[in-house]
Amino acid sequence: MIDQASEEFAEQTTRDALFGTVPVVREERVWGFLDFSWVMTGLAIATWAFMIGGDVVYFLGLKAGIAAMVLGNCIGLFFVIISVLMNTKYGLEHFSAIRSVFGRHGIKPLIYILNFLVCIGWTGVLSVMFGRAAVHVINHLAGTEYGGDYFLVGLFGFLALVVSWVVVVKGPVALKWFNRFAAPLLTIVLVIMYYYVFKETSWSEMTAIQPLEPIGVKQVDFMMVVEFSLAGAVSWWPAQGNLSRLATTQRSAAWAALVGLLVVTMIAQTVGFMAALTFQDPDPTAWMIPLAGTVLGIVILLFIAFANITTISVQAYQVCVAMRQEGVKYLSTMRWDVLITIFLGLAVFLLIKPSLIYDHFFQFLYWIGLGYAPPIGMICVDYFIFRRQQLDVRAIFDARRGSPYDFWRGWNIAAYIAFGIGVGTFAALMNPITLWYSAPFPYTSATMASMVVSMVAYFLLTRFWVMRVGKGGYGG
Amino acid sequence: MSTTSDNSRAAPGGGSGIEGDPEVRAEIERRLDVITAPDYVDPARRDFTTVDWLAFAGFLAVCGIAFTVWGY
Repeated sequence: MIDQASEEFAEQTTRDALFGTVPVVREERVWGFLDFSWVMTGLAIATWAFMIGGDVVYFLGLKAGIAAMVLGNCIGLFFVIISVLMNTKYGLEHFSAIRSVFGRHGIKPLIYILNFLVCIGWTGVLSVMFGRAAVHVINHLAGTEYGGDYFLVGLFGFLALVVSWVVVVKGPVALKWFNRFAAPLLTIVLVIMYYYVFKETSWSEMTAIQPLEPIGVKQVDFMMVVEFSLAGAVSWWPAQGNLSRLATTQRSAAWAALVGLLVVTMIAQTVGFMAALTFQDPDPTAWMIPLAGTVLGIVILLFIAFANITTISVQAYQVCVAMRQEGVKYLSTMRWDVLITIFLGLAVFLLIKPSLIYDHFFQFLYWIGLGYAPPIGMICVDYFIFRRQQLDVRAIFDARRGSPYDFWRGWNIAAYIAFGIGVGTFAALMNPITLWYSAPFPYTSATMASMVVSMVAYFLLTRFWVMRVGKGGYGG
Repeated sequence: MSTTSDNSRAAPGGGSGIEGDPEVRAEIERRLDVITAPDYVDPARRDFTTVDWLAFAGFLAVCGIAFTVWGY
């Protein structure tokens, strides 16, 4: 399967990984506000936006649901966007920049465990979506009634992973082409969906539709949606960190991110939510045929399936490139096809019972909030309060013992203690598996509280410990 | 808010302390020399002004609050 072109491509990935960490200079910043808005829009229009919108139907009706999604996204995006301003300012790759908080070895668990697991989860969700889309087409054409856990869903999901494997191993030339059309075509799908949703149901009818499985206390239901919308917003964090270094100014990077990740995302999530309300089903693959009719519905489902292959492939490529760049020798020298096989192979486990992650998608988002919110908060404290928006860019790349961002042999122990405190706070407020929540949750949310508590803990630990022992390059 | 380099000092102890592939190390060193040069000017170095902060945070706050009041 591996020919010479593939081997050359594998070598190229290693070069991409290594050269991907170098800081960009002024001449390489290519995205002004409009360009970057388009990039962000392309990122935001993805099939998972329909899923996030669809899951709101469990808890809230139309108006409250839209409000909760907007509120969660506004809070989450504020912190995500300001936490990556330093990437724009210094042109630094995402995980390189946050060495100033976690230390040069301290970032490795974020890359090899946290980011890796999150991306496997996304890959699993998207491959199940591919499988469900295919099975809906079969059901409609053959008159069958296969359910969401029928073996064909897993089989087609596996097919999606195999096709993605071939695309990523062979070299993503086809992917580049498909990518150019994916965002515009998904925009057309969005317009079609709005047209048919409003053709099917009026605004006033939609406002009268009740949610599917509300907890029953409006404040709690509202916060559940704010919570996973917030988590959905913070899930942009690594991608946003890497992309924003190519923006020409911090101002254009921030506002363009709002155009794409807030405005466009909300448009996509809202139509997903409306369709879910109309058809009383959170699964996007279940709406398309009843919504747009047999022919158009099948075309849209097939397009969604292939759009998911694009997303899986891009994600697999980016994660595996990132795995090669941070100095774990056996990963940087591992054969490219083997590395991709391991990544995509782990996602296969999620196909054993597809409903486990797909039908509990919002709970997967809660886990992302749990993992990403504390580091984002700590980065904001470190960069804006302690470092006053000034990084020592030479020290970022300085691997010597005792260098400014060396902390304790490359690990900032204080950052991990604060991270742990944040995770503990989340667990005290909410259980992402059982949806158990404690009394303060409806007022504080779990993701937001874990971020704030981490920020406070990081501030105190740094101020009264790290700085006193002269670590971290804070200049006393 | 300066648009020039914030830090032009060399790493302590001489040398750069950069690890890894020699080719990549040389490239990082070259770029660090460029972006830490005292005369390096880059619009991206311009931090948010007070007005930027007010506009950005204000927009998000107004959006979040307005939708909550409307929908809740």
